[in-house]
Amino acid sequence: MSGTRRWPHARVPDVADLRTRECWICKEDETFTTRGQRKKDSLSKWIHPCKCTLVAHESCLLEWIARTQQTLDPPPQCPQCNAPFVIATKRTVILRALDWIDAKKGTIVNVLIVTGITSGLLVLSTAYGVHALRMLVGKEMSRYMIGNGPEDWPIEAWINLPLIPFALMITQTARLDPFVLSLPFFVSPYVHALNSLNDPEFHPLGAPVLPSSAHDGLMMAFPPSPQLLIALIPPVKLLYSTLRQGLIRMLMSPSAGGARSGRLGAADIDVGPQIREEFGLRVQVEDENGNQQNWARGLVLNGTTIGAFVTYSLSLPLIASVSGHILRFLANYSPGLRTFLALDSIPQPTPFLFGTGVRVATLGLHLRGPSQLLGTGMDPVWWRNTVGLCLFTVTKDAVELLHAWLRREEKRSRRIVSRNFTGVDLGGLDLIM
Amino acid sequence: MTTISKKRLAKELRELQTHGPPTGIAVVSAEDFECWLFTIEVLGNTLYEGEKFCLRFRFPGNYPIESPEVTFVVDEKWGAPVHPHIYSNGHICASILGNEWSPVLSVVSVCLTLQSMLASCTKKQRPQDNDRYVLHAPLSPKKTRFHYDDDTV
Repeated sequence: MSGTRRWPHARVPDVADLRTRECWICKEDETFTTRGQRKKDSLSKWIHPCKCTLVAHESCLLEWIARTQQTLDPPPQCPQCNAPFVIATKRTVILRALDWIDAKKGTIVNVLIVTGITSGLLVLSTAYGVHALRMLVGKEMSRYMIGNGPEDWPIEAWINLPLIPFALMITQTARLDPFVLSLPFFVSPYVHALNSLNDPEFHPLGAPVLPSSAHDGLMMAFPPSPQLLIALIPPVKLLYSTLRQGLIRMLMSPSAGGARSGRLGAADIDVGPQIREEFGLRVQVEDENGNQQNWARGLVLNGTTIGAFVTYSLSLPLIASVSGHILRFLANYSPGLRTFLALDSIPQPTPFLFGTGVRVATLGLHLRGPSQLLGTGMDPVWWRNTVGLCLFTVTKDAVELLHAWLRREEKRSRRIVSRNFTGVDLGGLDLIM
Repeated sequence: MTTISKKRLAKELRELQTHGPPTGIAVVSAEDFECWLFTIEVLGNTLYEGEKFCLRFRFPGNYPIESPEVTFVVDEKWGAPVHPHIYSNGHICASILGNEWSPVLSVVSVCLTLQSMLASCTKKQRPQDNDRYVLHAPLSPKKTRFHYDDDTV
């Protein structure tokens, strides 16, 4: 060792100046006496990459770095002095980009998953929307409105059809009444922009299109057009639920029934066992001390109630269709009903107008092609389905209310029978003699 | 890189033979480049005075880039020391055998580290989760993801 001797040169010594070198990775060592000798003998290049005395073969270091680190970011360090190694490398732009993508793989996969699920739901709800539309307005009318298949659909149908299931759910919520009211206008603005009302190319049934002036103004006709009916949903629904809640209060308030004191408005809060509509779910609170907290506790939003709500909402087109069929069948025996359902108009060759002017895209669907003069009248499936659905809803609500009312009446009528002390040891009783 | 591994182990063995192992450590067997056995004693006034343990080193093919698998032998003859970082099946929870391993370390330096780990022990007890760990432990401790939380021992 030359520890005592001074380094005689002006330059700073490097790894090539060491007499004995030991690779800290493979522990192989070499001892040489002259600088020139080692270059040919060395199997691998020697490196001093850090700030301490450790030296190593370049191949060993590269092997170690490759095994322990996926990328050079952060740079590998000397395990003894922690100095980062400086590595010259050909890291091209493409490699950098690919490394970056690799690092972001998790995020990208998540985005893809979300996109996949969303588009899956979109397809599902679109398919549902088409099916629901067909059930609600009948095959003929739906073909007229959206054509035969996706290739016929106007662009807005791709927005409106998937919204149908959600629109159906919204119509079933009590909480979102204001939203129901705004729903048609919520959808319509951009639909208007895309509206192909006056598109002369559009003749789904080869029907002639009236001049656009004929579209303006609300034309009343019988039976009402699907457009008009859908536009009427919000006001009718508001009116109906107001009336219904009034009836519930009247029947179910504690004073109603037995006492019949006629307290209506004042009984709002201390309604006893009451039916509350929360998010469209009917929640029954049995507590007689029904105050605010009690019905908040009674609000059960669990899997079953949500499932029931969704199922019911999505079954509405089926219910409407079945009710419509029943009405149609019944109409065979009642000329009055037949007229009311406008079944007589079917065979008539005289054209009938669809009332329009209410250019609302409702239930998430902009109905195209209003005011068209049709060569043949259509079977007004939508009209009897609407009537059927209304009858069904009213009947269902009435039965529910009746059930709740009967239950409450039964509770009120309860009396517990008091017995005498037959069979009891009279000596154990403190009796008034 | 089996050649690096063999060269390096041959070198380590040669040094053990020429310089002799550190005090308290003795080679039991080092016949091949796969498995070596040592006995380890903690000298001086410690909790393990008079006790002798057997350490097994298993070397992976890419040693020293990968860490060796080091465990205390537990059989009829040997037992694992009772220590907060040593499980009763002989597995050792030490960062230098896991994420802090580097080729700078060697068989001798691991032996010395474990010796001092035992020497500095203040209370003979098993790790808190010993029973649960031993029940489900993989054969090799290297398959366990230890959480190194204690720098004092």
